[in-house]
Amino acid sequence: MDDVLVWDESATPQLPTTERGRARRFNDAFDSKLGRINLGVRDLSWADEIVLFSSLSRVNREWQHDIIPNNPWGEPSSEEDSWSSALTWRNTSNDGRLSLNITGGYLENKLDFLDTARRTYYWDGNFIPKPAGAGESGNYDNGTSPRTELNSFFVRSSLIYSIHPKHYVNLTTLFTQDRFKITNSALPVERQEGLGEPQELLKNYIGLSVESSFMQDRITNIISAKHYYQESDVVEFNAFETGDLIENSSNSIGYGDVIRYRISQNFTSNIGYEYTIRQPDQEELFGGIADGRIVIPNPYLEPELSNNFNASLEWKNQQGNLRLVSGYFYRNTEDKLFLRVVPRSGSQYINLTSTKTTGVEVSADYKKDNLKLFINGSYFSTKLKSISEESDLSQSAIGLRIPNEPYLFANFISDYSFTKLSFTKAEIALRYSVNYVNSFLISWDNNATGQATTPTQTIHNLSAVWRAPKERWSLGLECRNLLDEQAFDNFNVQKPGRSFYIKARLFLDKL
Amino acid sequence: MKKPHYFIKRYVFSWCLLLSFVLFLSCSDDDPDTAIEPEPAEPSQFAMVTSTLNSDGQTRAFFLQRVSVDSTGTIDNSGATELSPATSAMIHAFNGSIFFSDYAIGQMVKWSVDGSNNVSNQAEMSLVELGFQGNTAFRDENSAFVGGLSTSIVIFNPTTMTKTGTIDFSEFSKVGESTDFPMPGGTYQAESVTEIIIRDNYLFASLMPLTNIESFQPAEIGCSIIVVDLNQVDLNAVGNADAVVKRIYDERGSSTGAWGSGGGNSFMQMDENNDIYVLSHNFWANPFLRPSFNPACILRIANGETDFDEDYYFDVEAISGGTGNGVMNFEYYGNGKFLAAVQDPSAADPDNPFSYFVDPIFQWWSFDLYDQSASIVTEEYSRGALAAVSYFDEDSGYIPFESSGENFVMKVDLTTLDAVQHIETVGLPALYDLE
Repeated sequence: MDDVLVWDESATPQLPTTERGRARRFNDAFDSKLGRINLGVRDLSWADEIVLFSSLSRVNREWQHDIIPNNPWGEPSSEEDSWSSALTWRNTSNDGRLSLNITGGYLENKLDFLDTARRTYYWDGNFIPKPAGAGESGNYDNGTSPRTELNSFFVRSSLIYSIHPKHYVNLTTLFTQDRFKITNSALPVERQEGLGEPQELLKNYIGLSVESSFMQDRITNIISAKHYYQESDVVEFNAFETGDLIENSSNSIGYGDVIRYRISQNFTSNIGYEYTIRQPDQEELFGGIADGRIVIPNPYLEPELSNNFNASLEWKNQQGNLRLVSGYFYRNTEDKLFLRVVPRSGSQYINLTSTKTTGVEVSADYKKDNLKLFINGSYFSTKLKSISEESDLSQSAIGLRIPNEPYLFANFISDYSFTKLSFTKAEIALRYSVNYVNSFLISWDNNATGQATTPTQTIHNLSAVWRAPKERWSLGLECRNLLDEQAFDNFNVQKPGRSFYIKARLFLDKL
Repeated sequence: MKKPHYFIKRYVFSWCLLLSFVLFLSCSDDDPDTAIEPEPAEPSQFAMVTSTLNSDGQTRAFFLQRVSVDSTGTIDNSGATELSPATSAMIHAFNGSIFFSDYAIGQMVKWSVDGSNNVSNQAEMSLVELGFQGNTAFRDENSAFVGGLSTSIVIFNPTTMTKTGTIDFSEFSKVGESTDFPMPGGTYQAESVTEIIIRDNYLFASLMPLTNIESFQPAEIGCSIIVVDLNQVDLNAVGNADAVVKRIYDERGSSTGAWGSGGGNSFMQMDENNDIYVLSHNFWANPFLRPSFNPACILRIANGETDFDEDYYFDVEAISGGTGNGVMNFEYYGNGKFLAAVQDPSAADPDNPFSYFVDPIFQWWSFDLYDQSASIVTEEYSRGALAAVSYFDEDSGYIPFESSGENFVMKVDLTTLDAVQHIETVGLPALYDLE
């Protein structure tokens, strides 16, 4: 980590004087184990394919800091065990007009987080006794050691039926049920009460769309309607106090229409409008400890509702190996789901009352022989449109760009495969990529001097994969951040510099 | 013929020039009725820190700029420098510098702001050993003191921003001792030094004793202050336990000290007679602690004394909004007078348990410590617990004001107590004296 406070050489434990410097992360070990098995049969009389998928994983990790890295943690760690299974059945009618795909699955996840040290750490690994309380991740009396248990069940189905060679109906459904439980043995007995409550999130989605082609397939139209239902019982957690079990539910209908028009042999246009709904997921509602951050629950989250308009124009050459696409999009969003930082406590998802996003995207791809090139770029601006009466945000924030979100970025990918090598029958594939993210603010734009930003980042990556004939095995080497540039996430947390990865794969059924 | 004519012309011209010069001199120097007016004094300036609330509803972005008292209209942040994009902090001014005490991350940063409004980061130090640090007291350019959730007070040099020593008052700390407040069987889990005031050679450190640091549950009903003899303190030594004289306690009032609330305001003030007055604010006017706590009141430690003055007690609730209407802030403007924000609990949001602190339910009043009187300044409601740090210049007070969606600096005529909206700001303003 660069530019963090470390002890100066003359400092003593009784008088920890500090200076700005560079320090190596010291509590970020990561150990991940994963076993996965797919068993299935094909071409039965009653199924094209039926597959049983199951995986077992264990992830042990140390926690160096929370969502922002101002204060390092020296001892928190977590152990996470997951088991998931799913069964998929897929079949197509004899005449090929009906195809059906149904998947049902179950997930069990247990996570223990341990944070009871009575120490305050500095970025160089030095520490002092904590003046009051225990634990590094919050203001606890005895630290915190939550155990979270999540049990999820889902059924997903997709039905595609051809009414006519030019008209298809697609019916999709998804039902999920999440049960969440948390216990925390480090907390006093009186605060265990609310935590023991089983929490639940139930979601149901039904989507129906009709895809039709007209005028010798020059026009394709997709019209859709979707219904979303959600019901949640989530424990409120406010300023270290466990509150009541809050019931919440929502019922929403989305719809849209997208038209694709082939103007000529070279030009195609797309235009579409959608009223979309994004329901908060279990992590956003229940909170939890995942993805390098502690999320505080928010039982009051509402679905994000958005009026979306998209338009794009595509050009491709006569040979079909060069394609250019440019697009414009507009989003008028209510209750945008937004991750906020809660100092010394973690983070929490909230709804932003109303935002407006406009943006453009451009991309190009090119193929010739063993060479593939791809480049894309996006610019968009999401601004706060209004605030609710209950909001503490100042009126002056209206019209300002949402912080912590990149708004200008681009990617370049080039692939080249060596298929006819003199010394081997294997194939060697090379990939070189560049990811560019323009500097962006991490607070509301006040047009002031010296506003903190996440710096502009240009990250180069290089990888090579050696694939045996028929892909019986492969060996991959990858170097991420080749030039060791400084890289950051949306909350200005410094990400690893140059890193190397080796990946070997062996396919038993192809040996 | 040409030559005499030329001579006459030149002669007349010279005399005219001389005459006009004499006339000019007589007008400028000798006539007392037409003397040049003296240059008007430059209007005084203060440092204004505005803070805008982030979308998280908790952290704020802080901006610093120099502002003249005769400014009018709207002052946005385009002329300011960002001190932090998102944190919680208190701010103090000393010797023309701004000390940004960021208690959310346990740091203090020293900033300078020159006459041309150029702001620069001078130095910084970590204070994580204090947990949440309290207000800082500056003694001179070589020594300042800050405490927090610790039984040690840190001594540092505010010029170099280096720590030089500590004052260990653990011998007088009650951490670990039992308490029957709020219920029998409790213990003092922590005590925070919320604020420090220095008079002569004595340092007075106000304490906030807690039975539970997670819920900030008070551990006692009264007001506790640690007294330190600075003559016994070696600024460059760790410990200095022998310098701690005693712990004084008064049950007429609750704990005092800001502990970073209100942007760095102070609840301990010293008047022109060297008497120290402390405002017991009932845990920031928390109505849920009533009726255990007595009304908000002011206690005194008289000049030359190190104990509470039993003969002085000022019930600031009874004299203003009435008992039950908490009083926040202690903006002293001289001759025993101060401005404070009086809470109107009837305006609080019953659905928000923190409404008593964060909502615009406070009205500014002026109080007199000596005759124990009070007069209302404005009936408009402000977030008085947050918008607090004021600036005083001659007969005017410049008071921060924030209501729902509106921020401004209010100018108060300290003689008549007439108040007008003076400068509109983008963000909650706090004003600091740069002299």
